[in-house]
Amino acid sequence: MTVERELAPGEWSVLALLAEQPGHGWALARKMAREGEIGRVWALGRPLVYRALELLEERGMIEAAGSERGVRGPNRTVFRATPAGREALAIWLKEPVEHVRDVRSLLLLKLVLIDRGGLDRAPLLQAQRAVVLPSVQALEARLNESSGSEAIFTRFRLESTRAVVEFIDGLLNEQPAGVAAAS
Amino acid sequence: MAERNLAPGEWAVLALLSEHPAHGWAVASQLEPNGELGAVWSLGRPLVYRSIDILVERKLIEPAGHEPGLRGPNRTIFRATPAGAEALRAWLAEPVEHVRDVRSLLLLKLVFAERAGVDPRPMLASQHETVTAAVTSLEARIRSSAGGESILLRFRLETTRAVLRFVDSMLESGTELQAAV
Repeated sequence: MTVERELAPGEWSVLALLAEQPGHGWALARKMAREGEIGRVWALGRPLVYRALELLEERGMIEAAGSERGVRGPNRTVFRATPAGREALAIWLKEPVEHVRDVRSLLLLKLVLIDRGGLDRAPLLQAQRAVVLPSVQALEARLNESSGSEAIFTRFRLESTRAVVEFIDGLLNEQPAGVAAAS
Repeated sequence: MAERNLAPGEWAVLALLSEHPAHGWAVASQLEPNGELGAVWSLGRPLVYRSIDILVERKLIEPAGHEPGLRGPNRTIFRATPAGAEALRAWLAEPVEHVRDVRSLLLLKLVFAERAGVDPRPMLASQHETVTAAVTSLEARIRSSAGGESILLRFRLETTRAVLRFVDSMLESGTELQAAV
């Protein structure tokens, strides 16, 4: 057996959408388009959505659950998440993002998917906080030792990294009422 | 005739040539990813030469002699014209319009202001105003948002607040930075 590559964020997004409700490729592609519900955070073009469906099915994370008659053209296959797919998704959604530079895209994607799924975001946020805090401390130390343009640059990175901590703390301190209001 | 604004890389080339006359090759070395300025703004060699052409066309820089090349043809040395130096001074004094451009443009301005020994505080003071307005508007939008929309807005709010803290800390350290130059 060959080692399987880790799913890409767009592929996780397709799986998450199918865990919310069964759907066909066309509807998924619309949500993943640049101006779509998920696409605003993480966009995936139509051909890649179909490729993601193939891969997820191959891995047993989704399965065909019937077909729907297309308005024009052929019938569309409706897919749904399998229990194995849901379990893998739940684990991924709790894993923190490794690099601070990926927070803007990947952490926000996970939070949006968690919010849509009505799941608890606290485990992810706690884990993410633990990953980001050492970066803040390292940058504080570097700032003390730097000068000139290096200091300007480090100061900016420090404040951007602190912003991530502030963002996480803000969400952690919030009453989970937002989850219910989301739907 | 309305000319488009200079791109950040073009400003960087103009700023370097205002510091001292140089040929394209030397400017390009400073703007390589590992060059002196690469951490703030990097620009490939072909784009450096294109920037030089554009700056010459607009009379912001001009040829100032030749230097024999080690191999190959002589290299033209360029220097900023008085109009170029003036345009650069005005640009350095102007805050960045959009918060999303802070990472690139504001850092670039601050680094060149520092290299030129220009006091960045008047520009930072106007930047403080524009960023404060952005924070206020995001706070209002968050109050009327929910779900995924609110998560995205909150993140934007915190990164915008970070820019404000950065601007304010640069304002406070302005005197100390000046002393360090």
